[in-house]
Amino acid sequence: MSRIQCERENEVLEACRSDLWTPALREHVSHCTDCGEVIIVAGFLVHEAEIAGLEAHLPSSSLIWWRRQLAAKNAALTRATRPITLVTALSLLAGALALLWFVVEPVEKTAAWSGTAKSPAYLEYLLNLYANSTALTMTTGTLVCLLFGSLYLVWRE
Amino acid sequence: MLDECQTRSEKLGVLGDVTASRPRPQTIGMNEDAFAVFYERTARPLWAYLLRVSGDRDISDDLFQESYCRMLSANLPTMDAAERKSYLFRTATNLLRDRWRRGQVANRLTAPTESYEENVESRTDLRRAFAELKPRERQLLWLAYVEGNSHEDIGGITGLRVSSIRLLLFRARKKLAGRLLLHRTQRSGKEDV
Repeated sequence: MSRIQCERENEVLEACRSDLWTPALREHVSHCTDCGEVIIVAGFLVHEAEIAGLEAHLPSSSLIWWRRQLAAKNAALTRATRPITLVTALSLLAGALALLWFVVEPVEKTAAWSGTAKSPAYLEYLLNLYANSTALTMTTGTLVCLLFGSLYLVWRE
Repeated sequence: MLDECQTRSEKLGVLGDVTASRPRPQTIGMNEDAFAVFYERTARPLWAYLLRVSGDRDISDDLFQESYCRMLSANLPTMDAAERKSYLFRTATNLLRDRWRRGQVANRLTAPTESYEENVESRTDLRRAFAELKPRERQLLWLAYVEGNSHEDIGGITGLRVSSIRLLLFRARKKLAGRLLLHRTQRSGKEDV
């Protein structure tokens, strides 16, 4: 394997950065191609860093700290309201399904209805239908949703 | 009821304003004062790194603040100053890489013309030589020769293997040194004429 780094490269780099050269190191640099390159490259880059430092218009540390605190508060707020968002979404879903059921089920059941659709007997039939089955099932479903929602909130706390 | 709400909010960190009577909040083992000291020590080097590697002042400003915010938000074990600085540069490097992947930072930069230097023309030419390097090469050279990181440290910051860094850094240095020497030769030739 070919040698790709001079053993004294770190010393040379340190001397470049601090501008403290020993005679021995100066002597070494005059012969070593690798270290000569290090001087050229490090000299250029360190100077670039100094110029960039002059050009910098940096915000104060308290601004960064405040921004981080604000982000943390927003994250905490999102975490805190996540259960509410979740339960709201579940409630909406349950409501939508219940509504669908509420509409579809009577249509299916009244397919077997032999009388006139506008007669009072038909309305009575629908009322009985909702009262006996759908309403009961929906109420039970709502209670179950509330139970799980409450349990989730308790678990989160 | 009010007390209960306040207690819950404070516990969740939703409302709790920082007041003088309360102890200041701490992050990665740092309070605001310790952060101010750390910031004072690292802000200019980080900004210079971001500016010279990305070549874009707006991107540098964005990533600069983002790097500190991410570092403060991270759930890290207690670190000494050198480890924190290394972590900060790693975060900035990852953010830069994300920008490159999204194409928001050009692979080949155009050298900025603005400068605080007297010899603007010469400096712009030199910067162009640096800007023509690949982003990875610019990163490696900066981390090694400006920040003075060891190959192991650079590996930690960039995610590259130490053996690869040795070779990549060698090639990048050769390339930049060649271009800088060429520029110097051309420059002295012009002056002779």
